[in-house]
Amino acid sequence: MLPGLCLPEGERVCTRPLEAGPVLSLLSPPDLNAKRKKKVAHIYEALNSDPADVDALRRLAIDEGGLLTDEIRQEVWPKLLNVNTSDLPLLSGRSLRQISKDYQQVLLDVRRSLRRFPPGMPDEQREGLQEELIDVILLILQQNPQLHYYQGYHDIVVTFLLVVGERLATPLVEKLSTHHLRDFMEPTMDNTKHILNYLMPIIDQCRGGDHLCPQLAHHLVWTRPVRLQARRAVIRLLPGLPPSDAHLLCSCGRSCCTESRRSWTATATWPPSTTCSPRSPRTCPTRHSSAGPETFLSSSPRPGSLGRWPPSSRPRELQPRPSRTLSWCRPSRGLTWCCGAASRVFCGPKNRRKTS
Amino acid sequence: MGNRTEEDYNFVFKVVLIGESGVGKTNLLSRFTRNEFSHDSRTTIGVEFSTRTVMLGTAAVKAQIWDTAGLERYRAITSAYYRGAVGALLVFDLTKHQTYAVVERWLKELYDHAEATIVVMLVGNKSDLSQAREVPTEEARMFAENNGLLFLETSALDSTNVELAFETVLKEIFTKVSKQRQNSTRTNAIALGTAQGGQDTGAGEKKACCISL
Repeated sequence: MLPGLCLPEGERVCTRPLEAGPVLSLLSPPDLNAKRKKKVAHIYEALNSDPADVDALRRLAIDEGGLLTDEIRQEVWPKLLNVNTSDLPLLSGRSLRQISKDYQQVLLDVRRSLRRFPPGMPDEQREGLQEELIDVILLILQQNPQLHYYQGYHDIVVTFLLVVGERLATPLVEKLSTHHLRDFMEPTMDNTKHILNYLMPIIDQCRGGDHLCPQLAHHLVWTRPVRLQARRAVIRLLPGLPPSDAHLLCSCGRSCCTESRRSWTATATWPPSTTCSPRSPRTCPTRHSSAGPETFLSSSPRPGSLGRWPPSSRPRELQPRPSRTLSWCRPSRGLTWCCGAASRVFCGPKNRRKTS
Repeated sequence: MGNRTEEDYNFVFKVVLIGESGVGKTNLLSRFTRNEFSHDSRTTIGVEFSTRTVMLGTAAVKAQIWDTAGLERYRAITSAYYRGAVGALLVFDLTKHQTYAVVERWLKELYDHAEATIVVMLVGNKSDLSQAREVPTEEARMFAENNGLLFLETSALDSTNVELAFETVLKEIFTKVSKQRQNSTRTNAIALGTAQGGQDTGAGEKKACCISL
């Protein structure tokens, strides 16, 4: 992502230069427009192929500027997730509120998710969307009893709801939940705990490498364990961070909607089974999956099989590492070790009320 | 209790905030560390922390406060963060009896994973909503007394007792640490050297060895 590049919805993405990232070229607005037009043409070319060129769509999704507009995302996301949009069922989760064991928790989380909606949205519209958000979540949970709700899941669903609407959001999030998120939706968080073990070793392995290890990028996008300060620290740790990865990590001045939309595009593009491609073979831990990107949905790893480590570098069972954590943080700020949520986004200035 | 710059401190005390989802843990933390309150405070996912350095007598104490997600499914992760904690605020919402009814379970969870000597305060939050109160003060106070816990009612919204709650816990920890150090010095001049807790130890004096309660 180029500094200052304006997205169609008027959101500026990553306006601050990265402290130790790659040198990003500065293009004048006419150059940007030309680039945009060219990219839109490429996207529609891939979309209109018969069958759609999903590989090309994936590449374009993680390329500069992402998928550019919500209109394009509405068309591309179903392709990336292999969801048929021609015959969407007319289902609603509204009737499930009385019987769902998760309703109270979902309600609690959705009620306090105001900042996940675009600023300036009329209250009535936002409240309607919050109701839809509850319905989508309850419907997916009801249809997939093996999936268990976790706090942060609602953050993921709202992104889809805002971009594609309730009817399409349901099958898209359902597919995502039964494949990409399933490790985090098991009855217990033990598997999530295990997966979190990989975070620090991956950062250690990637530090000083020529490129951001794709697995790290994946992990950061997926688990979103770091908030703004830590993300900057990660960027500093990774001098070779390519722009396409850096913009995912850098949320400086970015609206939550933009970041999460782009992150989810990347998430669908870097599925769990393909995140350790030999792009940085010397620093990446060995993976046992050899599935190619085009088969990611059918070859998503079994729960707990995110990756395998050589015996010599197998991480210890999860132990929080406060010393390292502290070294990342500026005083009085924290970071999140969140759980598979892929959801925590920095939403810009908070609407806080101060009292003296 | 005065404030000090963040980098200048003698002790670090790790304190955890636990309790059911939606009781106000995150707002208690933001009120204490940044004097901020948010009506639509976002759900805590996993664990977050903030710090604030305060003066206790002549000692600068850095409170490293870990805020945990309340959802039960997160316990596998959050409980790992209890280790090394020397203080805990077990928070319930005094307008929701259900959040108080499970306090005993939280206590067990805490004692299962933390040091037995951890200083625990039971905190009834949202005292500003007195008309909606479902948990009588005396009932909670009795429970706290019977279980050896400190007790306070707070309001993160209007700041009532927030400073006092954290201050009381930190002072209690500080007293324990001071006593332990005195005892160690009296009984064995080099015992401090054996009390090392490494990086996971929650209470530690900077430039000296770490101290476990």
